[in-house]
Amino acid sequence: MYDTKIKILIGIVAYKNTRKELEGSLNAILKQELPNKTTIEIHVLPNCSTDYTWLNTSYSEVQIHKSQGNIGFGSAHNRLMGSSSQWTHYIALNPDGTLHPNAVNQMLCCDDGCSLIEARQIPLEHPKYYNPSTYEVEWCSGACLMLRRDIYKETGGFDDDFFMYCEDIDLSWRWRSTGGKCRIAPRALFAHDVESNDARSNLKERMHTSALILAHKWNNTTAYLKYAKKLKEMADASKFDDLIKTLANIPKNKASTVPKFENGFYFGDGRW
Amino acid sequence: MVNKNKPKLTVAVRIHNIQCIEFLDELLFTLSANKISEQIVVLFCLQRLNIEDEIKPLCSKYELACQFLHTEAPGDQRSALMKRAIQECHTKYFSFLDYDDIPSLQGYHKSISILESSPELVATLGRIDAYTATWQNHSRLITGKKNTYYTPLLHDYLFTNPFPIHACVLKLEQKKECIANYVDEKLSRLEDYWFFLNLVTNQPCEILPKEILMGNYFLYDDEDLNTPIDMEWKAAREKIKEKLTQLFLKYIENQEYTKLPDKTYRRFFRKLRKKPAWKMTTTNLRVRLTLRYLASLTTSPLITKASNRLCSSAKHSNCHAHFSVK
Repeated sequence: MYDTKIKILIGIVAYKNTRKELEGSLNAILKQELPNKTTIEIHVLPNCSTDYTWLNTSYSEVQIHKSQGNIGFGSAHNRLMGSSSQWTHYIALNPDGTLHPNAVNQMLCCDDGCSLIEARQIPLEHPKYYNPSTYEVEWCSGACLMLRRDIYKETGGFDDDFFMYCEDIDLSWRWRSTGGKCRIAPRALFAHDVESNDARSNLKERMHTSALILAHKWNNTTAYLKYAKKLKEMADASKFDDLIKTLANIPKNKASTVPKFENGFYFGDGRW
Repeated sequence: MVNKNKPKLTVAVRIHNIQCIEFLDELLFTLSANKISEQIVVLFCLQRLNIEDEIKPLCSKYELACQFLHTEAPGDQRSALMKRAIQECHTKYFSFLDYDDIPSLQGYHKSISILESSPELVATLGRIDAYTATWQNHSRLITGKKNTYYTPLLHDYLFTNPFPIHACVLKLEQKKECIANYVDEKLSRLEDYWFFLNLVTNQPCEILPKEILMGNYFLYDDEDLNTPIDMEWKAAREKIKEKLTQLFLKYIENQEYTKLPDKTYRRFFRKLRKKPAWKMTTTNLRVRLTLRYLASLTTSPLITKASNRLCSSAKHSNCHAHFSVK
């Protein structure tokens, strides 16, 4: 499919990940079975003060970026995407997951030139619906997401207003609103440990905060009121008031028929 | 293939069909991403299949230690292989998988931590999620969620078989032969149910919190890949019901359950008392209800006889309705 060279930049935003976790992720990248004329660069941006200097000695292939503290998931990936003009494809990869040796190749196989591509997360797949023939999805997860440079240029990457969660949904909807597609690569396996997520106490609050921003941006009053009500119950009053004030400064997207706020955090139809 | 660390857990994978090779890649990849992958040895139990040369490179690719068990005996040898796998296991901990299963990334680690912290425990049982799927273009497409196999209540355990074979981690140590004997080699259906029934009623086991997922298993839209409910299944079901009857007669009627060392088993009876359907019942009535339920489902002479003997009291004639709901 490709006549020209494919240069992939895999961006990893590390946040207090253990050495074992990060080594697992990096080793899996280094084992990728790539098609001809394809190269991979690995860039790591710590979103924390954890010392990752051991990467310099253990992984000469990895370029470590200087941390600016926790600037959020989307912003950190934007920084990595903007750090080089050489890449043709960018893969946002969570540091707590492992790529199947053929995953990148499979993602490239699904690249039709106009789609955001997500890998298939196992063992816990996201229940959102996908078309079994075209593999089209309503939105792509940012846990392992591939986008071409032209998509990055068109969309500007993730919206920095999201700190964590829902930035991937927003990017997907913005891309689809311009006529682009979102697809899952069913044979691109990404073993991602999301079982421990439930244990994080602030997870719900963060998800609801991001969902509220999403509803604001896409001008969905019903969803806005729903998430605002829930957030008011779980966040402290001053924090909630600050968020509402911040929202006033976040510009709204153009009206679109793409966004779906049904089924809670599925943001669209579900398979179960 | 030798791991740098001493293996701690043997995962037995039974393979009876050449089709399995395509599924194995996904299973082995997931095992390689497991939190304790370097402590796992995969024991492939091959039924009349000479596919070691195909499997070894896959294990090598994922840096997984592997061993093989073979049988050339005719017929369905899956239960016999299950028994041999336990007998020939060299690690302290043991678990089962089918070739198309996907184990969770943390289930083994969490199970072993619990088994290590409680020396008296012999096994843990955890949640399994079941999905419907199709296998197309060399990949599995999940079409829906079928079931969650889990119960904290042994009452439900006994009647609904909520723990498939992949749900447990066994601590073998000195009890290896004893545990192997819980496998009925002749059963080709519901062998997991039979095994667990024997295990849970004879050894101290712990049911893990629901949040701990042990893994996923799949039912395929292509029915050739599923196990049909046939005469063998019905025969196995009858055998299990007879076993249940014997257990109830032994442990409930004689109230021997109070002497059992298994805290989980005792907890079952405590929970049983709290169920609304069992309100105002005595131990004997619970036996009667259970047997009525069993008698309504089976033609077994043993169960019918026991049921007739214990359910003769007319005042409990309305009890059957409680079970019809199940």
